[in-house]
Parts: sequence; structure tokens; C-alpha cells
Amino acid sequence: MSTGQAPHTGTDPHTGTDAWKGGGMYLREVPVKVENLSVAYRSGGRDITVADNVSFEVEAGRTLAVVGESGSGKSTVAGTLLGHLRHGSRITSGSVEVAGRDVFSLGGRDLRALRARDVAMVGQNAGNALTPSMRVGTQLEEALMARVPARAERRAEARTLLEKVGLPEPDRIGRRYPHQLSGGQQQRVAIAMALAARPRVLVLDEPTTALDVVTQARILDLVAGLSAELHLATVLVSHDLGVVARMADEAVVMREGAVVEAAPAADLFTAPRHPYTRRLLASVPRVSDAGLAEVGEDGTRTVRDRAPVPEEAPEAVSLEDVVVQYGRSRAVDGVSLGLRRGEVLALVGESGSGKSTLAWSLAGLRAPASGRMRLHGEQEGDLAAGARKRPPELRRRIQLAFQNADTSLNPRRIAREAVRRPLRFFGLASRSDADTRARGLIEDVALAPALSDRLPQQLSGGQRQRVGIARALAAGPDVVVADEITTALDVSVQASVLALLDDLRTERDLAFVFISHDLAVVRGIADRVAVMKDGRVVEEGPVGAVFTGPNHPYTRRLMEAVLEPDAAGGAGLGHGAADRTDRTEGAARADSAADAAGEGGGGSVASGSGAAEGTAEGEWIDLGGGHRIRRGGE
Amino acid sequence: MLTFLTRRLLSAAGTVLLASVLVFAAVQLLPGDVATQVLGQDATPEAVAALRDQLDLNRPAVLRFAEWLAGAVRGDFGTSLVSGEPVSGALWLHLRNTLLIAAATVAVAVTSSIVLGVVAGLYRDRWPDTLISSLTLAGMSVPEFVVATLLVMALSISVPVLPAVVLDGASAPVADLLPAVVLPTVALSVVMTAYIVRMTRTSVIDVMASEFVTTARLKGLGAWRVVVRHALPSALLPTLNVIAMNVAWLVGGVVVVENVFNYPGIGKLMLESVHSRDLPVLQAVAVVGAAVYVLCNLAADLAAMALNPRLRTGERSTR
Amino acid sequence: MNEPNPANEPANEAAEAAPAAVAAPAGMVRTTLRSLLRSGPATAGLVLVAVHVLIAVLAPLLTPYAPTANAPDSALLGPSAAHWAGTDALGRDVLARVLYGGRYALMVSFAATACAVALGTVVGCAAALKGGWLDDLVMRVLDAVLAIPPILALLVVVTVLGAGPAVIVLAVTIVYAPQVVRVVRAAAMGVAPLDYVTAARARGERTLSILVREVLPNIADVVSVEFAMRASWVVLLISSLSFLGFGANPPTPDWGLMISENRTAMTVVPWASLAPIIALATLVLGLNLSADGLAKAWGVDRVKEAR
Repeated sequence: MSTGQAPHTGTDPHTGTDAWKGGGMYLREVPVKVENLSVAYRSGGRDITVADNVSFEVEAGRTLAVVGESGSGKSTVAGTLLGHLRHGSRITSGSVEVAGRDVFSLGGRDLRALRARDVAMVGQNAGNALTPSMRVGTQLEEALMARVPARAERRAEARTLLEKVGLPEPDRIGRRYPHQLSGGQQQRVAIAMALAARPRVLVLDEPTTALDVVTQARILDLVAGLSAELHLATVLVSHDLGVVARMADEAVVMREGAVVEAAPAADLFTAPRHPYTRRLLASVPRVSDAGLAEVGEDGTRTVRDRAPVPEEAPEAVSLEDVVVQYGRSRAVDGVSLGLRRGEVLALVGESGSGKSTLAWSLAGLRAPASGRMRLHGEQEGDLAAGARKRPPELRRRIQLAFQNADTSLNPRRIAREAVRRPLRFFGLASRSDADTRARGLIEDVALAPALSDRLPQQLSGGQRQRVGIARALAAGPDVVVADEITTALDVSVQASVLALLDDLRTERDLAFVFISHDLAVVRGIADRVAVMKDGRVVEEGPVGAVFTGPNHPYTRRLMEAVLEPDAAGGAGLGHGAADRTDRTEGAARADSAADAAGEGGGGSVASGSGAAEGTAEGEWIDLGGGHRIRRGGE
Repeated sequence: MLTFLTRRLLSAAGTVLLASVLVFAAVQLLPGDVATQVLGQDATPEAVAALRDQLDLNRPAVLRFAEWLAGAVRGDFGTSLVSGEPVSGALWLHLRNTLLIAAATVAVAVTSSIVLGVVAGLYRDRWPDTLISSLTLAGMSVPEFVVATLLVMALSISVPVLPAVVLDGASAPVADLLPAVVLPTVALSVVMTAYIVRMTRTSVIDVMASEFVTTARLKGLGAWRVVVRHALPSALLPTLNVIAMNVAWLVGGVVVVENVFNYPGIGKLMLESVHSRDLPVLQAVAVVGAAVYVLCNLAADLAAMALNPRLRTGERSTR
Repeated sequence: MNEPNPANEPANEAAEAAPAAVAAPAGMVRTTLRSLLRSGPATAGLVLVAVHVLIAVLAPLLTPYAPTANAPDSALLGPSAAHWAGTDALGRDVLARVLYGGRYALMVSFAATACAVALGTVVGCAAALKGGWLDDLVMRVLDAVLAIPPILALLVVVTVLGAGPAVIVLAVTIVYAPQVVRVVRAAAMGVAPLDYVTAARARGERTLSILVREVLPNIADVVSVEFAMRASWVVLLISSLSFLGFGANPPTPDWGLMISENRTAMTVVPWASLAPIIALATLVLGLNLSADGLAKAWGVDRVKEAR
């Protein structure tokens, strides 16, 4: 990555005579002006407003974040900067001016020219944004067509761009198809494609939401470095306040289509004015919280003390050397863990770490290939068999709650029936009082009883997730396996679901296996944490100990990648711009290496690193108090 | 990729084999006594016995199938009960004639349906789409023999430029048959186009709404380039299977159309053998039909590989 | 094919607000009906099919002529006050034959379609849920059956078993069930990995119970659309068969047969051919429009399964 000095003067496409370069030095340049913008679409014969009187400006070299929860209209607003509206939507008032032109007054040719030269967008999922049937190099060259007429030059410049976004061996990458790249690499290509036109305005629509935390941090570093270097006016759309804090100079908070607060990012995070912003900020779990945060109506934030798990709490589940295989590859590779009644054990790791496989195995959906897995209590039970082979009593005592609120409930059955079924199935209630019991359980998860007659599609995401929890509780389990159950929820809803879980844990003396990739959530809800990587536990311990360290290098990497919604987060922990680009460069290489290892070879590469670990097999560093770290491995 | 191809070829061969088992079973085992079936209830016992002998019915079915299969692999489908000549001679001649129609139909129907489908998809809900979609629906609602009958009425009888009824025999030279190919081709193309257009249209609409096409548009690319380079390869993928299925359907569709035009193709051969209960011919035609179907699917798979780098680079197998 | 959803975000928002819309499955029938009736083509389709069914049932009341009564002295007449659509070569009233002609096609088609869809649904669901060797085996055999072109298969069966209605129903079932299996299996496979099915499996429910409680209700839409669409093809196929002389037996009034009988006299009495053609085309068109309407109302992509 360029540090803006000598190395690139020869090939850097951006040292041309373009007026915009350095233009901001002597005059205030405002490439983005949105004024009183309203967008609506027609449904059932009436207008539904998506964006309501939105105004903002972005100066060159600055980053504006548009923040909001789902349904706030933030993505719609981002699209208008490129003159893009969804099928059926239209502008009802206001204007959008980009690079001095009124976007919605442009004809087809002019609009294309604007998109080809002045404004570019990077979407949420580059995997979907790249054309699957074209080599990425070709797609990149296309983006250069408006500016570079000669074909050979385009090829050379595409190569330079790929280098610039930190992809190794640009010639080889350029010849690949999108599906041959990892998520991080795809996103880098998408960024290169956006920059190809040398735009003045860069629109980022949730650019890192689909990525792992570690990759996210690297991509954000890259974007921040590039926008500063190229003096772009950047509009960042995000629901993630941590990302906003890391990236934005200014922020606009949207809710139900309207802007509720606009302020410099630093002010927004230190002194939010609007109650909604305060509540939103307060709802975000922090790594520094020693328990769950409770958020008042006015946005006040109190951290709930964690009730310690009593010393004498009996063991609920024990795992010894569990191996789960998919074909020949080991998704879970020799995991030993224990869980006590009333305890929340968090399994943390990136996608592909084996945490969900382990959870599913516990729930009986995939029998382990070897190892011991037992359920303790009044009656001992062997969990090493699939659900069908387990006695009903055993199945009843371990229950599963799901990540995706859209698919966890049968769309053709009302909420009460979903909860009623386990009651009847396990013979816990007679036909006559099953309904009453089901209704009671729905109330227990803090839902209005009236909602029990609704179909899932008539419930909100949070409500559906609660019904899912009620269904798990209906069986009267000892252990609940919760697989990323808050991941898809908005922060405010997430906070309330987490609080519910915590209440249930103490009320019912439940043991939870809580699977998450979000360390801040884990910090608040868990008693103990197990960090998984490549199917193994690399670190395990009480939540306090793990979060204060010392840590396994992998855990440390995860922790460093966490973005907190604080003013400090934005300043990049005190990094200067030069420092930041250095980090970008180093991280990009590491990213590419990790990408190559993760995607390219799959099992074979993993087994390679496994061999390196082999010598340290079973070697743990014991830090006392149940905190242990696997030796080596990074 | 090579292993994928080998596996695909083996499975295709397996499908044809299984299909011929089914056909053989249906023809030979179902009706009880084949000889009585062929000759009718009031045949003399001597005649039945003679036919049983000729058909080798006194030996176990498995053995007979093995022998038949061994012959079929070498292109020998046995002897016709009616003409007493080898089945394969007539079969290849009629197949050649049918392939004339089939090739012409595929060329016409595939080209026109892709063009119309893409136009309808791109102009979704506007007049070109409404027009194409209505015509399509009409095409789907009229059986091919009706189209054929109407064509005969409209063209051959009122404006007699093209032969309404073919008078050539199966062994006529290709050049003589060519004028006779036109009307059957039109009749079959109308129906076939209707089905493929619908698929292409849906698929184009899906792909045009996809994120990568939006991205290409937002890159400021011209409309032509967006459609041809970015959208079409992905949009044609699902269409391929429908095309393959329709080509296979053709083999059945020609039975009816050839009958209307008295065209000496495989359909007519089939119909004649049904009337005369010429079981060896029937069996051979059915198996050849199955082979055509399997080959079409194979071709579709190969075309899909050409369009989809994910298949070509062999990351994942289909299905 | 799906209803355009102009904006995802507001849709989510609406879901968040959890509208107190009509509850319970009973509401679904009503919503479907309403959305069907709102679409002009779908309504037209349903009306066409209904009219055809009515005509078939009420045929004896609609015409004074018997469809099989020969009248050699009034053969090959053009349309007149006495014979609205003229008469055929045997002097039979064309209109009467057309009115009665739907009976055979409708009955055989309906029975055959119902059998094919029922069989296909059961096998498709079983294959999807059980997976493993059963699925492999089923798909193998299906591929082989699908490989034999439908008309050829039908002709083989009709040749060996004769052309009675029962045989034709059986043959059509054999020919079309595999295609239904494919579609239903694909739909069931879409449902099988969803979390609510996983929850049932983790609970240890039996396959049959999962099928009936969790899977079938969620693929009912696909199956219904499949039924309507399959019906249109079966009508076409059966009339093709009649046209070739393997369906309805001669004196029976049937559209396919009528077209076949009268096409030689087409220049003399065009209406003897045109009338059954119109009847056949409107029935198939009605079925097609209904299938499209149902598919649209439920968001089923019917085109993807063409043929």
C-alpha cells in the first residue's frame, strides 16, 4: 500500500493531472449534497415512505456514516447517490447532487457517465456483486473502459489496482473467477473495481457485514487508507456502531426513513443528543462490560451484575476428546469441555471453526466419530448417539435454539402450536392443558399472550426468536444449545433477548451452550468461554480471565479486531494515518495468506498446520482458575 | 473435471440401460403371453407356437434380454415381425429423416425463443413482454397436432406451395425430403418455442435483478454490455435444461406431427409398428428415444460447464 | 414470476411492526383466492375451467342432439339454425359432439393427474427426507423412466394393455409421476434443512410425522401448482393420443378424435375441426392461466419446472 510517497510515482494512476487530487487543500469541495430527499414506493394503492426528508453533505476527504437498524431506509439513501432506486420506488421530493450534478435529472447516457467516472459503490456481499461467469480481471478492466481507452493499458492498470488493494500475485488473481476467491479477497476486488474509475465519491453499503471480524478489520483499514489517500468523499452505510466509530468523521442516524440525529462522529459517541441514538448506543454490548447491559427508555445504561455460578453446581454435560467428521475432514477435532448447571459456556470462533458442528452434535443431529459425550444429572445419559437413538428422556433434557428467526418456526403453524408440540411429544402435558401450558411458556419469554395465535410471518424477528426459545423450554431441558441466536437481530432487540436468556438461566437453573462470533456479546452473557479454531479449542477459561488475558495469539487477534462504538474507536486507538496504512499493508498480506489457507486448499492446508501443531499435541499452559491456553498453533 | 465427465458418461449409459430394461419388461413381461397378444385371441395354437418359437419366448426373459442387449449394442435390434427384415435398417432410415426435422426445429426454436425470452425479460411488464407472453401462453395451450392441422389447412390447401402430405418413402434422398421438412418444423417450433421462452424470460428477470447485474450497471456500463456479458451467461444456464428436456420431448412430439404430414420418420415407424404390433421395432424405437433423451441431457450438462466456470473448474459437482 | 417487492427494507419494517393481519391457515385460502381474483388472467383461467366442467356435466341439457346419432342424409352440412356448428361426415351434430366431447378428456385427465401428483408427492417427499440410498435408487429409476419419451411410453403401454380409460390413467400416472417426483423432491429438499425441521429431528420425531406436520403444509403450494400445470399437459397428451386413434374409441365424442376424423373434410366443413380445436385450446388455456395465477399468488416458480 502506498504511503503517498515515491514508490508509486512511476505507475500510480493517481498522480495524473486530475484536478480533484489535492483539490481539497485550497478549496472546500463538497461532492455529495443530499437535500430534503424523500423516497416512496406504492403498495396496495398507497405510498409508503422509505426515506423522509433526508439531508446531508459530505466533503472530499471525509467519511460520513449513515447509521440505522433494519428498515431505517439507510440503504435506499445510499443507492440514490448512484441514481439507483429499487423497482417501484421513486423520489417524491428533494434532490441528490453528486460531483456537482443533480443525479435524478440526468438522462441515461449522462447517468452512465456519472457512474463510470464520479461515484462508485461497494456492496455488502462481493460474492454476489461479482459476475460469476467472468474473470475478475476482466470485470476490473471493464470498470476502466470509460477512462482508459487502450486495451493493453487497461490490463496494466487493472493489475496495479489489484496490487493496490493488497492482493498478492495480481496476475494470477486477475485470471480467477469470483468463486475461486475467499470472501475477503472478493471484497478487495470489489473495492479495486470501485476505485478503478477514480471516483470522487465512494459509497460503502455494509461493506464488511458478511465477513469475519478479523477480515473485517483488515478491509476497514484498507478502505480508510485508500479514502484518505485518494481524497474521496465516502458514504458508509452500516448498522454496526463499532464500524462507524472506526471509520466515520460524521454520522447521520436514521430511523424509519428519517434522520433523527446528525453530528460529528466524535460527538455522537461521547454526547448523543437524541434519545433513540442514546438507546441505540447503550444497547451495544461492550467488551469492557462485566455483565449484561440494561438500557433505560432514555438511554441510560446500567451493567447487570453476573450472578456467579455456585461452586457446588453439579456438572451438566461433559465432553472428552470429541471428534466429529464430515467425510474425511474433521470439523471438530478432539474437544474436551465441561458445563455445569446454571452456567453459560460460550463457544467462540470464526465461521468454519467447528463451533456450530459441535453444538449440533450435542443436540444429536450429527453423531461424533469418537470421544465421549455425556449428560449428567439424576440420570446419566450417553450423548454420543444421534437423536433417533437417544431415549426420549435424554432428548428432552437437551434442546436447541436457532440462529435464523426466519426459518426456525414452521410458517404454517401458529406460535402456540410450535410450543405445544414438544409438550405433547414428550408427554409433558395432556391434550387438554397443553394449550394453557404453551400459552404460559409464551408469557414466560415475555411475549404478550395474544401473540400466541399468530403465524410466524406476523411476528417480528425478535418475537420469533422468543417463540423459538419458548419451544426449547417447553421440553423442560437441563441444557439449551443456543446457536448464534442473536446474530441476526438489531442491537436493541438483541439486548432484550440476551437479558431474557440470563433470567431464564437463573430462574430455571439451566445450562447454556452459547455459540457466537461476537466477543462483546459473549462478554456479557457467558460465565466461561472456549475459543475454537480449526475444530479445536485453543483457549478456555472463565470469562473475566479470558478477557483480561494473557491469551492465545488467535484469541488476541479476535479481540483486537473487535470494534467498539466509542469515540476512541474511531481514532483508531491513537494510530496516525501513516501508522494506519502500515497496518493496512501488513494486514493485507496476512489476510491474503489466511484467505489462501482458508479457502484454497480446505482440508489439506488445515492438516498442514495441524502437523505443525502435532508436536505440541495436548500441551496446555494452565493459568489457574480453569483458564488454559493451547501451546503453539498460531 | 475428467473424472466428472467419466462419471457423467457412465451414469448416462446406466440410464439408457435401465430404460431399455423397463421397455423390455413392459413389452415382454407385462401382457402375459406375447404371442397371443400379437396374433389376437382367436389365433390357432399352431400359429402361436410358431411365433413363440420365432420370438424365442420359451427361454428365460433374462437370457433373452441379455441377447437382445448384446445385439443392440452392435446396432442389431432383431428382426421385424412384419417385414421379416432387420429392424435396424428401417430404424436408421427413419431416424435420419426425423433428425432432419429435429435439427431444423431445434435451430429455429432455440434461437427464436432465446431472443424472444430475453426481450420479454428485459421489457418486463411492458408491451413487448405482454405480447410475447400472451403468444407463448397460446402456443402452450394448443397441441402440436392442432398447429399442424391448421397449417395444413392454411398453407397447403389454400396456398399450395408446400406439400401437405409427403408422398416420399423413408428411403427417399434427403434433398427430396427437404421441402417436406418445413411444415412439421414450423408446427413443432411453435410449441417448443413457447416453453423455452417462458423459462428464458423468468431466468432473465431473475438475473437482471441480481446483485451482480446491478453492480455492473452501477459501474456505468452500457446496457448492451450488461446484458450480453454479465447477465446472459447466467440467465441461459437454467434455460439449458429446459431446452434439453424439450429436445427430448421432440422425439415424442414428432410422432403426432409426422402422422399429420405422413412424413416417413421415426414417429410414423413407431405408429405403424404399434398398429401391426411389431414388438421388436417398438422396443428399438423406445430405446433409441431414451438414448436421444440421455444424449440431450449430456449435451446440456456440457454446455452448462461452458457457461459456468464453477462447474468447469470442478469445485463442486452438480446435484 | 414473483410479485415485485419494491423495497425489502420497508417489508422488514412491516414485519417488525407485526401487523395483526388475518390469522391462521384458514386465512391463507382467503388470501389466495383474493389475490387470484385480483389478477384478471387468473380469474379468466378459473372461469374457463369452470365453464368447461359445467358444460361437460350439463351437456345433455344444452343440446337436443345425441352426440353419437348418425344421420347420413344430413352429412357435411355447414352451420345453420338447426346445426349451429354444422354436421360431420356421418351427419352427427358437431356442437353436440363438442359439448359432450369434454367428458372423456376431463374425466381421464383429472383421474390421471390426481394419481400422478399423489404418487409423485409421496415418493418425492420420501426420497427427499430419507435421502441416502433410497434417494439414489429412486432418482436412478426416475431418470430411466423420464428418458423414455411420454408418447412412446404411452403407446407401448397401450399396445400391450389395450386402450381402455383405466389403462390410460395408469399409463399417464407412470409417465408423469416421475416429473412430479422431481419437482416435489426439490421443494421438499428446500424445506428439509430448515431449522424447524431440524428442531423436529432433534426432538426425535418419526419421518412420517415430520412429513405430515412440517414438510407437507409447506409444499402444498408447489403441489397445487404442479397439479394445475400437469393437468394441462395431461389434457394435451390424452387428446394427442385420441388424435392418433389410441384414446377414446370411435363413436365416443372426444375432441382429439373429432379433429382427427374431420380434418380430411376440412375444406368442406371447417367448423367440424375448428369447434373441437377451440374447445380443447380454451380448456388448456384455462388450466395454464389458473396454474400461472396460483403460482403467482403463492410465489411458486412454475416455469423453472417446465416439462
